[in-house]
Amino acid sequence: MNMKGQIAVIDVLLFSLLAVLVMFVILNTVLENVSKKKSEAQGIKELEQLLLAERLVSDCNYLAYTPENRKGLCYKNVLKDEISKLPITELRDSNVCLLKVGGRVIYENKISVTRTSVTRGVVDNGTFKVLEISFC
Amino acid sequence: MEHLRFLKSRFARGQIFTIDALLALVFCSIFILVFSLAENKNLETNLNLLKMQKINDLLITSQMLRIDNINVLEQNYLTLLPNTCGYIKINNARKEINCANSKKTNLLSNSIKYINNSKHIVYIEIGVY
Repeated sequence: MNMKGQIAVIDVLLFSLLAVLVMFVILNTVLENVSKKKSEAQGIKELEQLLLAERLVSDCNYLAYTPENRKGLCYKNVLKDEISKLPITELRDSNVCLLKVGGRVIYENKISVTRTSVTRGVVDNGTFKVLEISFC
Repeated sequence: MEHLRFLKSRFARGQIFTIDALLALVFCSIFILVFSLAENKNLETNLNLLKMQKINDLLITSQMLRIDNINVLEQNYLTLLPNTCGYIKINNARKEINCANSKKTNLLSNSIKYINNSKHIVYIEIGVY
């Protein structure tokens, strides 16, 4: 091969190598960005579930106990489950499948696939119990 | 002479290609660096939040139920956090739970004081690693 040919071949090889490297770096960045966005969405979903669990144990409109003589004040973590007063639509919209205090089921959705579950400590009927909130 | 000029032009074109690719690499590296600095820590934060909520649950329920016995509190801890290493403290008594062969890093703790049925101040502290 004469010198002209050699230079051309080396030039093409080097350019190809660098082009492959650049493509790899770009692809890697794009994929990393996609996975980061997915993980962020997952984090926000988890946070929403934690907030719902917090409302269940501390909001008067959910499971928290409101003494009749002191309306407007909820006893945080003290439950008085009144199934008829539970915001069923809201629970369904938040994908809640199961609400369980100790071994007693308070609310159950027909969907059987449970993905995550959050547990909180509460006082129910004068004893310490675990409130389990399962999401589908 | 003409042959030499031709070689020079080919070589110069090759150099330009190579420099161009190198610049692209540098640009991509800066791009990656900027994105990696904003690393996502949402999941770890959520886990810590849930741990903190459970610690507070134990403290609030202990106050509600006027718990001043370390064994009762230990039982409640094990019900709520069955596999998590941590410690409980009531006044001067301290007990470690689930900590055999586990690393004690990233401590989250909280405490509460209340007056029990015997009109004594009870100090409860709960920590989770």
